[in-house]
Amino acid sequence: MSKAGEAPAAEVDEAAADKAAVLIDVPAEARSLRVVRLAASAVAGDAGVGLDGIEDLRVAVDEACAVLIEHAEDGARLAVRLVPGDRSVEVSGRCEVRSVPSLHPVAAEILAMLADGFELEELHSAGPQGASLWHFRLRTHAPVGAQP
Amino acid sequence: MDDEAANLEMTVASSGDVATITLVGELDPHTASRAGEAIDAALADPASTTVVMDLSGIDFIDSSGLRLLIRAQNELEESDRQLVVRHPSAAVKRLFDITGLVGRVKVEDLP
Repeated sequence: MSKAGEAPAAEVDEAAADKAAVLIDVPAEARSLRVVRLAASAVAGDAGVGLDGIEDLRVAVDEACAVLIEHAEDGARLAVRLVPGDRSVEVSGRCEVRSVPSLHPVAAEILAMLADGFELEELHSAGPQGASLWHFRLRTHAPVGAQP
Repeated sequence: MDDEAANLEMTVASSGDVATITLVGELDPHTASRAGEAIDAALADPASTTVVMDLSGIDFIDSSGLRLLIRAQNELEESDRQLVVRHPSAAVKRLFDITGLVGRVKVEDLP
């Protein structure tokens, strides 16, 4: 519980995450996946994630972004936010899509094994132009030995 | 050279009844279609009873690449031919494990 005049803990956490976040905005095209993977690797390395964890994150971020890109509206942008934590990274991304994105079963298997808390959801439904805004969120596995 | 070619280099060689496709770089949705064309060409030649995918130079693969291998395996199996995946990295093999591919495809490890 916060004292009078202090921001609630959740707001403090969100402000800290905003300050530390790395934002990437790229064309929603398959060629952009390499850039996103490189950025995710760099952020994870800075956050102290181990080599295996970095590799897992690279694949998980790629799969999550690829499903949005596959369904992206022509000319859409993919916005990815990487928030470093204590030996962990939280990743979210959003993109305007022309059809409902759905994971291929192979991609779903990979995401289930390599990331925690993967969510894919619609933020805004289709407007007059027919595009809707979709969003994903995932985080790296908790590091070995971490307290829950 | 466009960036797709820069991210994935590919050579195809045939010797007797073995076709070998060597991939170097990254296999993802950006490069998978080009790799798929090379695989299709190898599959279309009935003289190739064994298709070898040399992945020793692949430093990244995702589900788009794995799906290519699964499709190749299925098509070769239907015509009593064989897919061999040669020298995948530990990271690539881990994805084989996760997706169950390791039990379906013959994998040749580095000695």
